[in-house]
Amino acid sequence: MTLIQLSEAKMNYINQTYTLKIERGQSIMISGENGSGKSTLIRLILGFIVPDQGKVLRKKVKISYLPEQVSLPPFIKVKAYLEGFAGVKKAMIDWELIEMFDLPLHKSIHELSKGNLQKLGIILTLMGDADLLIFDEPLTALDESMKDRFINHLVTLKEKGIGCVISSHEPSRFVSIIDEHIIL
Amino acid sequence: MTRIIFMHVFYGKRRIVYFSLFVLLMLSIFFMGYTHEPVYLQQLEKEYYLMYFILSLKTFYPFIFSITITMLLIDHDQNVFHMLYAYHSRFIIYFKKLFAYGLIMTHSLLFTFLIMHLFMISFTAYYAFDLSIVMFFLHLWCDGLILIILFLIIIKKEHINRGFLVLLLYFIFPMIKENMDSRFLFYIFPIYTMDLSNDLLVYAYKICYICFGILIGYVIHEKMSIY
Repeated sequence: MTLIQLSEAKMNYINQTYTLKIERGQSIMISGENGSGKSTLIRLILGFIVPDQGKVLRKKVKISYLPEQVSLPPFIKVKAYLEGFAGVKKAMIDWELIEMFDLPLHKSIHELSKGNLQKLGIILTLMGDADLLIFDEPLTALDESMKDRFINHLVTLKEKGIGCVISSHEPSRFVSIIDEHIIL
Repeated sequence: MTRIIFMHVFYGKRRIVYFSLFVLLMLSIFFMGYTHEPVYLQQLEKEYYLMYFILSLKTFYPFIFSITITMLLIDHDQNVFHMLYAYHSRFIIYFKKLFAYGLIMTHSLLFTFLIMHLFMISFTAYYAFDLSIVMFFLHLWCDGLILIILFLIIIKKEHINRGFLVLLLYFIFPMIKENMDSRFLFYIFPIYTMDLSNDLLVYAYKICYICFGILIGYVIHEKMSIY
């Protein structure tokens, strides 16, 4: 089943035309040089921007999205924030995932390192029952073992039929899960 | 959603800023209402003292109130909410935001009203419950909703300064309206002004304005580009 379809979608400020079909359970990798239009493509998929030319067709889907930079309130405990976010998403907190990522729950968000902040962003994104996951540079600031754990988790999700769109400068790491690789 | 917004609004030092603002407001109200005159004189000239207090409150409080609303909403457009736009729909997040900020505003207004009432009853001999104060707070509640809707429409992550324009408008609008003495200005931006405060139709107009604002806000929210 096609979730989102981009037909000749184009923004005036970028010299790139996007034609893309995202099926349920399909994983797509987007890579390219800086300024090649990766984030623009992600925004088009998310419906955050409307194309100047062409069209985007989308089914009513739940998309979990991790932006390139997540801004979280600094003086809140990680656990409290996770609980609040779970409430908004009407989801349960996945404690196994938190254990896997080794996230310090009792620290305040401002005390977290860049890597731990990224892990928190990933956990917030993976929370809930999304139809599609979109990650913009998810491996930023993660150490090698965490990168592996994250990719292994994506493999598990793919087996469950949850697809993802990933924009990354390290496409070779995702070879095991991607069905389509778009190089911009 | 209210919990998440609460976390984003009242964290760490911000909590101290809000608390200080609230204490400052309470102290101002206290000094506005407090008088050194003997009790018998206060009771003899009850109406005069009460009128003076209400007049001071009506002149002073809308300014503090609008600053508080601006502080609350100045960074409402954060990318955490963008994450939620993608998960739920923009429609749901817009209304949840509206509800959450409305709830915070209503609570702060009610709390101010109660503390003020308590202060005045405890420390003055002339204060008596007056319906015009309730009407004034109702006006402010409507103004608060109008400001929240405007801020939700106007303020974007990359254009925070726009919030101060609305605040400036809220400050200077009553002055312009007073000088021009035109109802037409009120129809454009129906915020609290003393000359129209007793007209019940003003509430009806404000409610209609708020409903229309919510609708316009929703349409803009659906169409806006998010970067």
